Amino acid sequence: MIKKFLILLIAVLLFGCASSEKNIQLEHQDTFAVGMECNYAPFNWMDSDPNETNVEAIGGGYCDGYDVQIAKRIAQSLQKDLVIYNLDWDSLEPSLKSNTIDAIIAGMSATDERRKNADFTEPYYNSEVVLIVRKDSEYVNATSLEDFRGATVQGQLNTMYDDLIDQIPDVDHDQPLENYSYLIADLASGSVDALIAEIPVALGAIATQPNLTIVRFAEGKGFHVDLAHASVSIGVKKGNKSLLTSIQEALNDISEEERSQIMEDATKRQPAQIGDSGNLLKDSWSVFVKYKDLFIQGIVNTLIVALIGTIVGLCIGLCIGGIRSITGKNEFNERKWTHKVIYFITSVYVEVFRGTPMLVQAMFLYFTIFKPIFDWNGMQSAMVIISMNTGGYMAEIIRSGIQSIDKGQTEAARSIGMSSMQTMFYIILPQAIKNAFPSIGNEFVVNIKDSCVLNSITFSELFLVAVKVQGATFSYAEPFFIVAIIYFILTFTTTRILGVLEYRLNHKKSSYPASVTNHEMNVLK
Amino acid sequence: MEKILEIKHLRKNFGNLEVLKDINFDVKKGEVVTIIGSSGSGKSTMLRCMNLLEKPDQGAILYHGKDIVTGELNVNQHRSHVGMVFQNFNLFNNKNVLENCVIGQMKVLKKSRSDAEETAKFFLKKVGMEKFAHANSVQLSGGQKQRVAIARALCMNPEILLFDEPTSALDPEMVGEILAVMKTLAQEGLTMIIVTHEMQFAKDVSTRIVFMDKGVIVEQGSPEELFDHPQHDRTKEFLHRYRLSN
Repeated sequence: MIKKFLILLIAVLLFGCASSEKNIQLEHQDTFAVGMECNYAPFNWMDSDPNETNVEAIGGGYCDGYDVQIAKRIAQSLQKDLVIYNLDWDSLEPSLKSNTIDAIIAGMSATDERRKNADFTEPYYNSEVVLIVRKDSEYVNATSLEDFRGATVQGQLNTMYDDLIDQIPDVDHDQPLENYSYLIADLASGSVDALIAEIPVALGAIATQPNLTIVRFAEGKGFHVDLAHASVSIGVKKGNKSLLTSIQEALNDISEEERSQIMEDATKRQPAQIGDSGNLLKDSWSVFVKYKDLFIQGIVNTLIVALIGTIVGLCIGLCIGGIRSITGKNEFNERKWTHKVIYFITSVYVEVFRGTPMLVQAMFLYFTIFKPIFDWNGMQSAMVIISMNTGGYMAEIIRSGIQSIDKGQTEAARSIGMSSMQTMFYIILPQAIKNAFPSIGNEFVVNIKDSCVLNSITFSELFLVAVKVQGATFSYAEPFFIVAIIYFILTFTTTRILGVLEYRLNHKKSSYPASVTNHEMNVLK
Repeated sequence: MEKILEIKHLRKNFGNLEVLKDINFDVKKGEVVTIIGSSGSGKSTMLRCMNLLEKPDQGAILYHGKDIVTGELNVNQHRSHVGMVFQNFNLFNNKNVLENCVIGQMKVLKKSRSDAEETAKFFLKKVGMEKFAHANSVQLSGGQKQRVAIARALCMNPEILLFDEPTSALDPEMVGEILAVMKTLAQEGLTMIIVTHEMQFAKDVSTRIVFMDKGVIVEQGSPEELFDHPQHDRTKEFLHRYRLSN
């Protein structure tokens, strides 16, 4: 994985350098670089193993789907080799801008907002908005929106499909959910009557869920949809007219029938629900085996970030906690105005990071500072955020550890002439750390679990892996069951190890003189 | 004889409570001064002011003529010349016996480890604790801890050693070993200021006794003068009560 990452890094660097000089150089290269998120079946998804139809992607895995097949056809027509970049949805447009990729083929609709940053072809797939229902439901034979009067309907959060639900008369518009796995779970359980989807997604869903079916509407009886939103287009860099034209020409060569055929085939190929034996343990095992590389990567990422976050956080905590103990109110009254200023600043740091949720800190810092200014990726940002957050907690853990030390220790150190810094460093902190060790270890365990909120800044830790696998398999219980077990094993093992360390720390080797007999000791006394 | 330490018009308040009221006091080289008085008379506070563990509200504390209160003399430097032995020993819990004696020499006096260890072993031997050099401080009895604490203070080669009720936290059977060590030091000519309730010891060892009451020095003089011919009623009353309770 590290090797792959290095190759990607080098590739991106070389490619980035080469292409940033002149656009024309792209033309000389024999590759057609396409970006997609590989997590939007049946348009694009990720397979764990190579096969005849998929393409190995830079960024991990093997990509397949309608987009990949269309991309293949275009590359063929351009007489270039196809290279697929597996990118986050949010980094598609920046990658286009930086010439990392030539085109976005990712089931993307050409909205007005996106047209500001890229040029788009004519649609390469016209979607249709449908409703998915249970086969045994009273709505199976519906033909118009009118037939759904009064039904409970659900959609995906922040999509235009969710907005369309309100076109159904007297509809009971249920709370939207984040992805289709959840939505399908809701539908299958009977808590909603129907869910809204575009036809490819719906086809994918019913392929994996045999007890579901699709309701399509006759012309004029269904949802009123703006064509720009219901179709998907290929995006190229703004102003790259020649490429846009070539791609458009290639697209024109693919007939409507062929497109339908490609989509149908893609829908059939897309990852089916793995293990439907009904036995949670058995099914989870099959899911785990199939996606073990992803899970292991998730475990590694989670542990790295938790460990680095805890260590760096501890260092921050030692500095801030120590400084706060020295500059705060103390018995020695050596408090100058500089102390008060430093104390105030550190208080702000501690209070802000302890007083706001880590998820909020992550979202705010990532999108306002880390991404736009430093161009850090999810992993780098995650490490910084978790370190700063842990630092806030550690500072108080260390400070209370320091306060737990008898003030006689300080007096003794000061009385032999040690400075306040020396006293802190050689006498107080070592004891404070020892006293605070259980709390410090606890922070590590908390970090292993809490790093999961950082999936929101595209940091690929265990939780995000579960979500991805869930998206690929439409199985909602197994991925989370797997990660629950993994999390438990990680935290349980960590707790045991910390327990052993704590014991060692408290039973430091000493050599109480064995030669001193009871008699001798009495004499000494 | 040269005055090592001189206290002038020392005042100290804890909130509204006036603990020290205009104290004047000095110590000459080689003197063993014992401060006696009832609890709350301010004797410990006065002792702690001498190395600025308590900061005086008013007055001057001169070490060889230099004021430590105003910062004329660096306080850490001053403290390295004025050792202190505490009622509760205050050995560094994170260090073994030897390290307790070494750390100050290395960090404050900037001695090399080998020098520091040599000195430490010398003084540990002097207090009879050389066999425990590598024991953890938490494993020791009170008396052993206090002997190590004395060795730790001696390792800094102090000009004065302050004792703040060094035997008050000890079991009665351990008091003797500490007093024996202190007596040896006194006989070797070390300048000492001792706050204690051990009257017999004070009488035997001291060159001067200071009696404090309610934040003032009521009376001071040689052991014979003070114990046998006290001038003030308050001194008489204190000694009388003391004899009765003993």
